Amino acid sequence: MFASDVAVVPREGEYKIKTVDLSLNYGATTALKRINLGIGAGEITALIGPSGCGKSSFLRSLNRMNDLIPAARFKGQIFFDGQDINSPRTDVVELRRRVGMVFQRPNPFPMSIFDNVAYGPRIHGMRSKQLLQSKVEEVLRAAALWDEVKTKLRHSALELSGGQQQRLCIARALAVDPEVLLMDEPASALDPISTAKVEELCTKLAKRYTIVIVTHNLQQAARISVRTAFFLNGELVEAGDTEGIFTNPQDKRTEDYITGRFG
Amino acid sequence: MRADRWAARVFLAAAVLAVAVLGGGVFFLAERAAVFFSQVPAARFFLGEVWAPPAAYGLLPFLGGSLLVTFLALGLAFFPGLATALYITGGGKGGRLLRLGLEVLGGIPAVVLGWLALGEILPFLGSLTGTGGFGPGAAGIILAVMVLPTFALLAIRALEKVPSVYREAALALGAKPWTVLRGVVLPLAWEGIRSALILAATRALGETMAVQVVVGNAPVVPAGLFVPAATLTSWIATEMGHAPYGTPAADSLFALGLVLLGLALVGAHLARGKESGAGG
Repeated sequence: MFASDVAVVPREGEYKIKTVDLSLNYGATTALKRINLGIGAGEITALIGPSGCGKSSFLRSLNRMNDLIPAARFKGQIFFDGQDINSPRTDVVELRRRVGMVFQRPNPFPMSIFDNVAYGPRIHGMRSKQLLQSKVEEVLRAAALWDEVKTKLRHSALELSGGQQQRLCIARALAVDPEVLLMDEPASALDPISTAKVEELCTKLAKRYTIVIVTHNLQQAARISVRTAFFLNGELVEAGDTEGIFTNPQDKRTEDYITGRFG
Repeated sequence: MRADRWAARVFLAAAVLAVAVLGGGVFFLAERAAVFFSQVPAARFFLGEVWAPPAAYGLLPFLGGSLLVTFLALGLAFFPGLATALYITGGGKGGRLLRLGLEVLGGIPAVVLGWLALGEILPFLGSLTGTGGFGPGAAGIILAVMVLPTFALLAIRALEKVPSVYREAALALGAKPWTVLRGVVLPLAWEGIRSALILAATRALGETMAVQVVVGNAPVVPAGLFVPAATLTSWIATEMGHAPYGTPAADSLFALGLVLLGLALVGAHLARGKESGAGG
């Protein structure tokens, strides 16, 4: 919207999201220290690091979910398509529509499968039954769930298995046509088969969406991401191509972490 | 371990005592009511529209009065109470102060509110309607003031019990706070809010002092909002000073008490059944 605000020159290609000296405090606790990280458009970026390292806090900054925590204080900037999302001119509703989120535990609403997916389009003003129906089918297909639920769209979403529920939550997020998907350990509460399905889905979705995924599962990061960022104690230690991070880390701490010496 | 055993015994004894006192009270009530029913047929009591001892002991004037003031109070308190609860859970400005205000309002003794009603509400209603102001209308208004904090605070609890993951999911889709409240939180809290309403009803039903001051205490089936009537509680309180113990007049008050207890139990049962269905 006001591209002149972009303070950094992107690398080759394009950053969908770019943070500049982003710091975050919860009261006296520092969660993030001067993070500078670019998220490439149309890529999967994995955020890795031990529990409490700040990777989830970082993720939740990107769609301003940290607004819900009254004690959260930001410094620095987050640019989304060149616009500073913490500027007073930012429309949070529109930001969250464009930057979707999938949570650690599947959290479908206790409503029907159909209503779960239709919730987003409805609150953004879609009224037509036909449009809603085709939207629901489209995103359930995109989330690789359509064939499993097409005969029971009116059943409660809570009847689904954990893995199905998580794919439903992904479909729900897709239904408002986001450009970015933030995923906060989306498979950590799932069994291995469901995890594999969600990973496969991520890879598939990366063709259309920019994905940022927080994971404590290093194999998962290695399998699905193009870029990886390693967080430790609120700092961004190292970020780069996933292959490089895993085969030739530049920082001793990264090496220690990926070889399992801590965390 | 010995201390443990002793502690268990003390708690057991306390529990037994509590149950015994409660059971004894109910037993005593039932016993006096049984004496009454041995003299007055139950059908004439439960279906009677006239209360004119010793000729007629009809329940309906008081039952009608109690139900009328209770529904009136709930009707008046429901929307303001729910709106207040939504405002406070929605994180509205001054919510904490407002909540404190509700707690204080809930702690005002009934007799003080009754006195206030006598001095302020009755003259106002009287001038408005050209009557003395006494009647179920005034009682309903003062009861609404009394049950509003109960209802609002319980409704807040029901709203807060809705797991935050649902709010987060909706907000992350770009829903505005009020949309989340109305479309996600309120439906999930609905059972709890119904319980809150029922508990508020039992409170209104059992309230005595404030009602007795303004209802007029005429033992007749309510003929209008501003015509004196009586409720189960107000009549028991009014009469117990005059009825010599052991006479049918006194025993009839125990029968009224038993009805009141029955209504309260029904309310408690309904509220509990709903709450267990709230799933959260």
